[in-house]
Amino acid sequence: MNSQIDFKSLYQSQETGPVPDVKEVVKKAAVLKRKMLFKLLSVNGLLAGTAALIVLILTHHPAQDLTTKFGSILIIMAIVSYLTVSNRAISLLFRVIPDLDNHAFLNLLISIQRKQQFLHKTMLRVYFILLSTGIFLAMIESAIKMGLMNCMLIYSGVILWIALNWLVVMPKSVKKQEKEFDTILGNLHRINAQLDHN
Amino acid sequence: MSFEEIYIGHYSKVFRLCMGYVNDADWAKDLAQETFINVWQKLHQFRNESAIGTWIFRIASNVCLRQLERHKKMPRSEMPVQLEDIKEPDMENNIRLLYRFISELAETDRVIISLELEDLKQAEIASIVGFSETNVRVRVHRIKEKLSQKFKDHEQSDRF
Repeated sequence: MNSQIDFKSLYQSQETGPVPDVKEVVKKAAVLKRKMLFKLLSVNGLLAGTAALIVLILTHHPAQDLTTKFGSILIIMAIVSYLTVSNRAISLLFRVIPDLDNHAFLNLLISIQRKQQFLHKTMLRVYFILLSTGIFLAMIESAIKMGLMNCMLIYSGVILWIALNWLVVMPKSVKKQEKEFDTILGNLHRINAQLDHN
Repeated sequence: MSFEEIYIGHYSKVFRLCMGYVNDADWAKDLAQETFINVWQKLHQFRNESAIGTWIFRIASNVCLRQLERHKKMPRSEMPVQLEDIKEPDMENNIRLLYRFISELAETDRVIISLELEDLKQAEIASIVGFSETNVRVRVHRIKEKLSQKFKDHEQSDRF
């Protein structure tokens, strides 16, 4: 029977079912576009708003100490660096052109994943260093005015929060992302190798 | 050519490519839809450098190849295929077997053979996959041999 199998006619006889309504596809595409835009705007808006609030407070209630000013600048720098990186990562994804040939497309995906892996690993550390140092410094002025006991209480909280981020949140996030990146990159390399070996 | 005309004219072909890739009708429908969402978004960038069909197949095959990046695939053994339990006419059974066997091939082989069986010229397949025409010819020959062997093995195992 084997030699007589007509693969072409068998393949083309596969039932494809009714063609889904084209309006549904267009609607879904528009919803997807809106969702992406909303995600981009909401993250940017929230963080930019926080930075603007810090600037506003500093303008209306000018800080006396250099530590407060310096700390606030570091917090704003942390926010700006986070925004720059996350926007860059999203724009990398937007630039993916799915109409390249398979080989070129897989190579592009691999290079994008590598860039994102680097950005995530490096920038997450930079973000936490800037934010933690910024908060630590910005609080000195007001903490001193509160008296020794309150000062110790507040700083214990801050140090605990920073330690939690450094020792639990960040390593967990990095590890999770690394695992995801490794799986994705491994799969992309494996598929790409099928196109290299002939 | 409007998007609607492109969609109606190419949906079945794209669905079959996706079906060969995943051997799961619902998943294939999702992939076909994702392909046309990309087509809708990028249609204004299409520059007629290639035929519209070739362009759509490039997008569809890339959407398929990207699945491994996005989803944890259901292992084949867990796929809800009950070929052994359902007695169907030969033709229906062979169609199901063919799609199952295609989905068991290496990822890029699934794309190449689906395009070949869709009657695309080997030059077009080469421009979609990123191979030389000679490589496509060799690969298609090997894949067809593999598929024939799979049918043969299945037949033999059915006898016992």
